[in-house]
Amino acid sequence: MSLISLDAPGREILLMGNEAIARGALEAGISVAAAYPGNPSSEIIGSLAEVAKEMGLYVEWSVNEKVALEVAAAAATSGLNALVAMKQNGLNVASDFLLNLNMTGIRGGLVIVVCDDPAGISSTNEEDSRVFARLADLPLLEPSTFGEAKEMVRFAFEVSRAIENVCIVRSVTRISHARGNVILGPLPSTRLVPYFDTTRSFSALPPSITHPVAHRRLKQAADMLAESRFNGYSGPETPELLVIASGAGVLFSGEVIDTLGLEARVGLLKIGTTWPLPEKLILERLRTAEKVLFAEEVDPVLETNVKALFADNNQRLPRITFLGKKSGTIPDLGELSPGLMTRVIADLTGTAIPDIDADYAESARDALENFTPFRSLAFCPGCPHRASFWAIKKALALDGRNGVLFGDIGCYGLGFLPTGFRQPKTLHAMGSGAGMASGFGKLHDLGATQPALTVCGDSTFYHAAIPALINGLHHRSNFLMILLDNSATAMTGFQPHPGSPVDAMGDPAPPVLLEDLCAAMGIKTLIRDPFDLDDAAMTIFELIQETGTKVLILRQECALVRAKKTPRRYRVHVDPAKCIGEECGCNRFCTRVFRCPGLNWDVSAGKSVIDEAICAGCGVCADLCPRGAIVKESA
Amino acid sequence: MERVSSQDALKRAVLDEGLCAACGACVGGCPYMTTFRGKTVVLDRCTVEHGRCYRYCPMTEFDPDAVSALVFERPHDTEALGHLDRVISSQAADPAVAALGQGGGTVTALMLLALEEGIIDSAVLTRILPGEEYARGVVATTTEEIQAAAGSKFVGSHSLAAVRQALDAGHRRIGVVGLPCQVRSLRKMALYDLKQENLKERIALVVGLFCNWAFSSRDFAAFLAPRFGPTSIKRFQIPPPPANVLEVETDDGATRVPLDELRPLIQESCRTCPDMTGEFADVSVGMYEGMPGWNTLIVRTSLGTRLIEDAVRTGRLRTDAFPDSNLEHLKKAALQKRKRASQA
Ligand SMILES: Cc1cc2nc3c(=O)[nH]c(=O)nc-3n(C[C@H](O)[C@H](O)[C@H](O)COP(=O)(O)OP(=O)(O)OC[C@H]3O[C@@H](n4cnc5c(N)ncnc54)[C@H](O)[C@@H]3O)c2cc1C
Ligand code: SF4
Ligand code: SF4
Repeated sequence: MSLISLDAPGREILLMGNEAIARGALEAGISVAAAYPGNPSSEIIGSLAEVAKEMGLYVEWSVNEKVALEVAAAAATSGLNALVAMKQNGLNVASDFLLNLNMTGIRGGLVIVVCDDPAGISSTNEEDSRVFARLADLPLLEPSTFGEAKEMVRFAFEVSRAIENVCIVRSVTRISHARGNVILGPLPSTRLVPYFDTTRSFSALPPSITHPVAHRRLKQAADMLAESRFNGYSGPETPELLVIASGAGVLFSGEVIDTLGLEARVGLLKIGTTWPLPEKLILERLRTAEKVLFAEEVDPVLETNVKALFADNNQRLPRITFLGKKSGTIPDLGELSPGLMTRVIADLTGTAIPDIDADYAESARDALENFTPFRSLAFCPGCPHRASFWAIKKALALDGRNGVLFGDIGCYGLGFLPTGFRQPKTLHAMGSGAGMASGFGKLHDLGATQPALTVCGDSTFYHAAIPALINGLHHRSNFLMILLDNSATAMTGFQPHPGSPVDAMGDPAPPVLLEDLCAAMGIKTLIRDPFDLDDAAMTIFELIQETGTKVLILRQECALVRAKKTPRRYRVHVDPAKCIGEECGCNRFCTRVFRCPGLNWDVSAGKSVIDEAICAGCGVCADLCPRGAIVKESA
Repeated sequence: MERVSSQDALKRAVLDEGLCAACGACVGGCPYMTTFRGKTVVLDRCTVEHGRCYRYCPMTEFDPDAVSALVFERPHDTEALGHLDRVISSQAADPAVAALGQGGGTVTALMLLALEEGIIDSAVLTRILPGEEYARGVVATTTEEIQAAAGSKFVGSHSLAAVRQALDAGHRRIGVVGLPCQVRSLRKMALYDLKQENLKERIALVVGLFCNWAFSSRDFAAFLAPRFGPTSIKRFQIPPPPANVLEVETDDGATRVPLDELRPLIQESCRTCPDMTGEFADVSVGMYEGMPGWNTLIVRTSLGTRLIEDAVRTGRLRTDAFPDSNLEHLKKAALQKRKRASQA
């Protein structure tokens, strides 16, 4: 049960950052929420979907981020408040629409929460989406605590409604995915009724007229943000070191100043309204600064903008040494951490770092070693992707022409690691595998001899791969698109997608089937079970002998979805009499090459062994042992 | 120092060079490699350093003296035909067996006898199984199975993969009929016996076939498929020079295909192979040019001698002298192959 709809103003409850963001949206009186799932943002819409019925909202998992923003914009041009959530890559997808929507503005409230992933913990990149705010002439806020995340979202709606344009809130993994105490505010008691005022038009054309409007709105936002309580200074009037921080940088810097006892020497200027900057407040602080350190995650956005502000006002300001990413004082990538900030601030102030209590250090190390087993990045036991990549690997080996597999985004993106036998050779953006395969499949006209293949998940297919497939088909490109259909958006937490029979709110929805779509396009489309390894491999082999654009759907439910619904297919065990262990000469083929976490090497016995606790019972490994030592029995 | 896996070494020295003879020694029981439509395919990378694949491959280092010491208890005989006891001509005495055979059915008769006398308990032979397009190794343990394998398939067939099958099945005295490359591999197995499987004893009898070249089975199948129904072919014959043709016998009679048309299908490996008569076999058998229904038979080891004597004594085999002029011709042909190999 989600707590985010709790109607108890003043109560303090424990919420995940993303839930706090969702609660803020509820307090702001949203009517519509839409998103395409993407970590670390997924729980925002996930938790809103849970309370949608009770709170009278419309919530959807859209086909992609651009459509999500369009869905929300329809609500916001009809006077409602709408929330869109996405990860940083998602903003790229939505940006084409965003960079036109900003020109027309809206009539209600529209807040985009973009959750960045510094260090790319669950992403292919760590882009800093704050730069979009400047690109789009839109205000951007950055929370540094869970409570603030909630408050800022509410405030963002106020700003958005006031300026009649989009307002962006940037979260990061450590805020979105951590938990903290949040004080609940009141929930609105009235609902807005959507009405599209047809006396107004929302056309980006002509920019000569709409662009100045966008600028005016941003100026209006700047005035609101300048007075915002999300900015503030604490510290001495004339600090030795002024730290200008946003997001997680605020928390870490404050903690370091506190633990090193530097309150009388170091000042902390917290910036919550990153764009446009609260210029007056910053200039006030620069007037008494000598040395400024920037603490922000990923790109030097604050840093660059503050330096520009300094340049504009340099006659009235002292000489200042700026330290940050540009000077190399702070790394220009990845996350900040308390440890990093401690070292930097201690170094800049000539302060000794207090020793960590030896007992504590040891018990922390012990806990880490004993309670967090080493795990390599791998597919789950019984994951159909492992079987699919095995079949692809075999087909490419049998084919012998060095076929190229273009990868795509999803759990199967891990395929380039040993868990997927390093089969995909590219990994970029949603749907890019199909686009590249479509391109490579045309190079056969120019003398390329390698077959072109791509893998694409079901959700990714709907999101961005369909245009590429149509492109390939229309241009008679020679490639095989393998759809890894595990019937879920597995990577982000099993959200339904257009192929699912239910929608985000749990209502029945007509599934748009992969095979129907392909058939409608007139593409040769086969469906196989990846667990039938040889059949899948031979089908792939045969398909890449043919010219033209082809689709193979490898259909098998995600192991985690299956485990929730159905008992194991097989009871699997290793017959120690048949497993010849080290004698096999096969170099522990099963555990070394296939690498399912359910199948382990028992060092003392010198044989392989099934870990019954985690074996998913797919039975695939039983077909691989050259000795038939792995036995599967119908469970 | 860089550690080189056997498989990497094999890939570099043999497979990537196009020198694989499709003997099948490396693939038997190996999950990392397989055969597919006549080719040796690496499926996964194996990191074993002293693996059997590289060691048993006939196309990697071959020490003729060590093998001769093992088989003949003497250094390598560099004469044209290798070490031998005698060269005679022969044919299966049973007309049914002779009719099945490629030449005189000598090989089939000898394998039948060896099985019957317990010299072997199984035979690894080369067959195209009903409904299949490619020749493969089979483990034969009955008269019918041995007879069903009669007749030459002029391709590299990976048939030594079945030696592993026979070993795994627990056979203790395995007889193998193989091309000269395969004979070399079988002797390397016995010599190095990397897993101490007592291969010297268990590979109990090695019958070599004469061979000048073999077709790549994938290319040959692709050549035949559009011309003949894939399973309608009953037998191939290469009539003696100067015919220079391959005769393909089908249900509808025989078709002659000029050998020149087929030469591009010959395995690359064969151009580097120096051995025409299976110099390290117990006995080697080839055609007897100008004597249809007869074979040339080279007896090399004491086991070979005993087998032939038994075959004659029990009335399985008819033998005759092999004229000197034919012997000279055979030697010339063998030396020509050696020369070809040394120039490759
Ligand atoms: C590829 C190839 C090239 C040859 N080249 C020559 C040559 O140049 N000059 C010459 O005199 N003789 C050559 N021979 C040998 C000849 O064709 C006969 O096999 C030989 O004379 C024995 O005759 P047979 O009647 O005793 O055989 P059979 O009694 O018919 O027995 C033939 C045996 O050969 C085995 N066999 C068939 N095909 C293969 C194969 N591809 N690989 C391994 N074993 C196989 C079968 O298992 C069978 O046991 C060649 C054979 C092959 C397979
Ligand atoms: S010649 Fe034989 S052992 Fe060597 S690579 Fe080819 S099949 Fe394997
Ligand atoms: S020529 Fe040599 S390598 Fe080629 S098939 Fe004959 S014996 Fe083997």
